[in-house]
Amino acid sequence: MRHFLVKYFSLMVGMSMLFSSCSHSSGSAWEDTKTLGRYIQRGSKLLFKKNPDSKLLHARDELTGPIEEDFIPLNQQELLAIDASNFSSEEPSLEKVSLETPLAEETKAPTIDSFKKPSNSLASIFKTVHFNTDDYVLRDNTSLSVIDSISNYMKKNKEIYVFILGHCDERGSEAYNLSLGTKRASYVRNLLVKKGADSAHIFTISFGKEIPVDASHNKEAWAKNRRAEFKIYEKSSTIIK
Amino acid sequence: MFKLTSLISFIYLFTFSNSFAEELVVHLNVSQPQVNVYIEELINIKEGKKQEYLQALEDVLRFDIDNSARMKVCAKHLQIETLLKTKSFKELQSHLLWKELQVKYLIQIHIENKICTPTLCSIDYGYQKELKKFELEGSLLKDRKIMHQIADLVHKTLFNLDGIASSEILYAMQTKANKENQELKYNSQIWVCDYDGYNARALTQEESYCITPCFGPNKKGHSREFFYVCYDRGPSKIYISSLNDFGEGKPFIKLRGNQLLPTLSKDRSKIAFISDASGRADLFIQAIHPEKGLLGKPIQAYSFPSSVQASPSFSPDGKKIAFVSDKEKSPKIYVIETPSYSSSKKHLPEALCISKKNKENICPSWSPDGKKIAYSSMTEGVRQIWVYDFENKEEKQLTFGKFHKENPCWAPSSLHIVFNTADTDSSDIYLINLIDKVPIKITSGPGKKHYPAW
Repeated sequence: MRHFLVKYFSLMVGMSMLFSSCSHSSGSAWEDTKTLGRYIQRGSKLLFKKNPDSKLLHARDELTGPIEEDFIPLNQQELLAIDASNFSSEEPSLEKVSLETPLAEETKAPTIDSFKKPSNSLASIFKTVHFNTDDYVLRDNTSLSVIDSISNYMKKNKEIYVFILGHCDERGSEAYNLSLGTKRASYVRNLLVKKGADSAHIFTISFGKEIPVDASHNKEAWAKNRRAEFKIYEKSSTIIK
Repeated sequence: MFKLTSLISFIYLFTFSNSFAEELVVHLNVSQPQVNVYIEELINIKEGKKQEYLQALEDVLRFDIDNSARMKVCAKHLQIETLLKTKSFKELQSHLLWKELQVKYLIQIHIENKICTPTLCSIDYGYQKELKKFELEGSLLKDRKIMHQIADLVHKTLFNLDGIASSEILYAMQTKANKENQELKYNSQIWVCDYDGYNARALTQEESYCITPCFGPNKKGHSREFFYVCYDRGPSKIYISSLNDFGEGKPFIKLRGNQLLPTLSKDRSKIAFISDASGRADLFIQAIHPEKGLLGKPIQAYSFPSSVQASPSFSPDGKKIAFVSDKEKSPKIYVIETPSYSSSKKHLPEALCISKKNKENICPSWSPDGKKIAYSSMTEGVRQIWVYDFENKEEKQLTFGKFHKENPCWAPSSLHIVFNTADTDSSDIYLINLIDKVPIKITSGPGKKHYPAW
């Protein structure tokens, strides 16, 4: 009996140490538990997915849980169930927009005015990527290799901040394209995060079809305008190439 | 049914017209055919001669009455004008010309020493009513507004409903950026104009990009609020300002990421918008307290895997929201119940699709009377404005012809719609009513005018 009690006590102490060692508060422990639930469900769901990339688990929120929800969410289980039953989802695991617009004083990050179009050698890395008609997924290898290059660069240069600008061609409606541009920018952001870029350093904007790069009305112009552009800020002293 | 209501109106008029000899208490049935109105030529009594200025004012009034959807202005008639200059209305009331022209009401406007006095006369019953005295300022831009007020007074007197002539329309105008080295090649500001396109003025002065404005409800004694999306801080955020704030907009919603396409419920208790805070372009709701501002956190109202949500619009009672989703590949109009704050975890609401005729349906706008939803729909290769009627569950095409037409928005009358064309050759604001169905261009000049809001 005594032997059993010692064993039982040791087990309880061990378990409590295990659960308390990484937690900061009861709230974050709960978030971790919740996230674990999400992870388990996602794992089982992913067995049936066609997109092999989505089996990877890179998004920070998937491991740590959201720091604090700033909105009341829909039941995620319901959405995941729809996703699993209806789609071979091509979107990388959802990465919530993690930060507000960078504010110089509060976060020591640059303001939007500091972000510029990449120039010189960076222009060859931060190339504009293009989408198919009414699509938010990058499908051509050229665009995907651009994402690889950018994520590699961001992993090496931790001080870089990136804005992704989602754009559409003129054929869709103005209002719908504003939303679609958001989706495109978010998709690119999620891809970068999956490949290891710091999600807290990536922001998105959608301009819909407001700012065409080519104002012509032909297939070539439309293809150019369905794009995600990059604007960057980085302290020159920290650049590692 | 129509005959019965006409008979009741007639009996009512016949019985009471004598006792109300000086009062026009008649409220015409709004479903009746348009009423023919004659507007007497505006003349300055003291000077006794017609001026260009008065003609311009008269044109404003004619436009207002003619586009009220419930009245039609008769063309100027030389004989009538001559008779009106020499005889009083009482003397002319039984003249056969009125019947010949099917005129039911006469509007006379006397101007003396800058005081303008409109009088409404009923041809059938012979009575007349002086509406109100106005003081003209001598500036056409300001005095136009007096003509709008007169038109609305006539409308109110005859139909017991507010007219639209004194209302204003918000829109966004995109122009090319002035500075050559500016990162963005374009600039966009929020503008406001009278419902006929005049008196246009910029409301925002941001260096940044501002789009998709919407009005808050009228509050007595307060300058009217409006909301819009601004890219000042990078991601698009919803800003609040008022017509007298001269560009001093402030961020309104506290939520990370992009906020787009805001719309307010009629009682100003909720704002709906699109946000990517969840990683998708989802529909969100934020509760608002009339005095204190935001109430609690935003609610994720609708999301669907691999889909884009856009363009929310509240029903007048705020209990439902129409919006766009491409969850079935092609964008369609869906209606959901507005979620409440009662529980912390929200279930995905059932979305009812109401646009079934055409493939690509976008930009829904719920009419203030709750009976219809206007939206834009791809029709034989061109986006046209359609109207869904909840009573008979029918979709009807309202506009035709070339140029894509988008972003319809109802007037408070639920009879008029403002929309914009969206082509390179034409990006202007148009006004249309459900009776005449003839679009009238109300903006002109350089710049892309779009996202109109009434």
